Amino acid sequence: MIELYHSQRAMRAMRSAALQRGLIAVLDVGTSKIGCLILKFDGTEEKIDGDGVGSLAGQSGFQVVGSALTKSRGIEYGEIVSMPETERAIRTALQSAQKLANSRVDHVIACVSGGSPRSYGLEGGIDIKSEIVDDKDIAEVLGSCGIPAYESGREVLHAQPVNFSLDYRTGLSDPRGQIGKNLSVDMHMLTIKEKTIQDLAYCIKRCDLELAGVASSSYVSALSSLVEDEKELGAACIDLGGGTTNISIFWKKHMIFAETIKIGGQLVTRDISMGLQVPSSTAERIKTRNGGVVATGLDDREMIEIASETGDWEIDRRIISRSDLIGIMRPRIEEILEEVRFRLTSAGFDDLPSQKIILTGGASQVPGIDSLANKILGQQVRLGRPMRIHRLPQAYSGPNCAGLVGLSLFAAHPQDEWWDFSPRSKNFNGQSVSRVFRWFKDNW
Amino acid sequence: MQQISFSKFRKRDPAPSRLRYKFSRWMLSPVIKKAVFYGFPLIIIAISIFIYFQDQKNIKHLEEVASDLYRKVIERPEFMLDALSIEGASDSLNAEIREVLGLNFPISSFDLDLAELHERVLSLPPVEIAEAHLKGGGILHIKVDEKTPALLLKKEFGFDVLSENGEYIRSVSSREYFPALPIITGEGAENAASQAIAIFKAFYQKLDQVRGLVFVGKRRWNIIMTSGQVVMLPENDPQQAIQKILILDKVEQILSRQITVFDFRLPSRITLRIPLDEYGQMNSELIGVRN
Repeated sequence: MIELYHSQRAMRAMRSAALQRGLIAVLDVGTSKIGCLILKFDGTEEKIDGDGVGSLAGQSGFQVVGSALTKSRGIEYGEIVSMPETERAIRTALQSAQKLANSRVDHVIACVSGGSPRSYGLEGGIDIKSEIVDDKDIAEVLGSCGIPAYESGREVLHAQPVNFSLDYRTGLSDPRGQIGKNLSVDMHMLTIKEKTIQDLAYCIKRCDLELAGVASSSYVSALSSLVEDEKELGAACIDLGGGTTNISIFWKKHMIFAETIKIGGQLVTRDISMGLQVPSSTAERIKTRNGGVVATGLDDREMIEIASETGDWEIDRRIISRSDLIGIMRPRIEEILEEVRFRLTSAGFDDLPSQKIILTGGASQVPGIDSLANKILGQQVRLGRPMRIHRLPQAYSGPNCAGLVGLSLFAAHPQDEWWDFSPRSKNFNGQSVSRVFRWFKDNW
Repeated sequence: MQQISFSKFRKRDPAPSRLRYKFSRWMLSPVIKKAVFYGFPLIIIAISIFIYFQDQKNIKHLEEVASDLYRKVIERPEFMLDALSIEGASDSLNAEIREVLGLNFPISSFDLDLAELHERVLSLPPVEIAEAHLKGGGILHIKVDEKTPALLLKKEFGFDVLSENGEYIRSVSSREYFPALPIITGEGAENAASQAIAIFKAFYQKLDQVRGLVFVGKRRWNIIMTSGQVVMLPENDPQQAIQKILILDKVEQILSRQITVFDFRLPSRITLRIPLDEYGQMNSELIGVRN
């Protein structure tokens, strides 16, 4: 835990160094595409006074100066299976983004979609020595949380305090400065497989970049797709990606659950490819151009030419109706949504006061998926698009880039995590210095 | 057959090679970016300028163009001077100043060095104080104060006109030009001109009888009277000696007596020399005066 604490702190320091330099790259390494945005921080951040967000939802301090989307390589279900291939894909994305930005970036914030994340709810409590709660107390109460016995080979990705209670008051988001005796905290911790994150870090290092932060892709796509009210009242963000489907549940402005299902849009493509006996590139084209999930009478008459190049005329000049295509796609998408339903139910989503579900990600662009989702997930489903950030290219404003945009927001305003609070000196490295300081204070 | 054509059209890996990627990042690093953005154009410009100036003909041409342009600007009517006005100079000095300045009007004010002109006017002997400045309307204005002639210094040929301080003003061939000025002579007389003036002032009652002053031995003055008499003045305080003479003259009319030399060189022992007659004897008439 302590090593992790230090590596996360080092990443935070890297991030602040990058912000000082003004340039930082965000990298979304997905199963079907790798996206990269280069953000320029120009220090014109709007001041947010009081709680809540400003008029620009904290998106004012930076702008996008470079962007690139490239086909992902060497990644399956959000996990790297071929390091050199992934490295090449990352290089491609970064080089073209850097070319567009006309400047070099050295720091990158990445997100991980695979690695089978697992959520834990942690609790901790301390008695406050001084009457007023300060940073040290927060650090201590966060440190006092009982760490669940997660299996070895997993790494903590997020450890966010969700709720503070002070004596009999609960639901505090920031108890600092308040007076009380007993401080307790609820923390949400997310672990993922260590190997996934190490592979990614290694790939990024091979590209001469410094990793300045890692986030779960479930978390970041929710950051960009959910509006404040949904985060406050309770909502689930379903990021229907290429290889994985990421679920995150937000309540009281904090993520309280995250989960990844290893089925995604590429499975639909594979179904089409197998069902129609076409190469997967053709299947992908047909899916994006003519795909759908709700068949109507009109779809029987809408014929799709399947042009392939096998040399066999009978196979190359086939014509299918759109209903046929929908017939292939719908069961798979239903399966995905049902799996989502199952995971949400087992996570206790039904107990939340609000049952809002937001669909985002590339696969949420299938026409009619919202009505299908209404049937499976409930009535409060909407299609989410990422919010606008300054100078984001039009091509990146679709739901398929929700993770990328969310990662930008994460880079600009990361939520306070456990490692953002300075620890008590007795546990960590500052020991010798503080001891000398204390000695001076006592003797002089 | 099919396979060959397929491999021909196989797509290249879109990913940059590691080396290429590193190179592109290196090129984008701030220092290199600046060096390329500013350095290359600068080098090209510098080289072309260098090549251009390798040719002597080009340098000459450029100089011509530059000087042409310069003249065009400075010869604008706003900068031209058309006339010289001189204030406070006599006609002869006026002509002299004009000659010494040697300006051909119209002339651009950029071509004038006022300080140098001022020096040149000041270097003229008759000029005491001079001012030179540009007046509006294209006029160069020179204001001078002439030195006032106070003495004539007799030279071997002709006379020098001196100011009160013994400064040389001009040479004249004859006394006629300054008939009113007293004459002095002797080696180094111009250095003691102020003393001579003082002597003349003290002797003002008898000025009409004075022919001139002679500086003797670079230290003291002799007064030569029109009658040929010589008054030898001491080195120190000649005015007092003159007072004595005047008193003696008033009482005894010694100046009108037949005495050739009044030796006042030692104020305590005044010596008079009487003329010898043709026989080398002292004039008996004068013997009675001796005391």
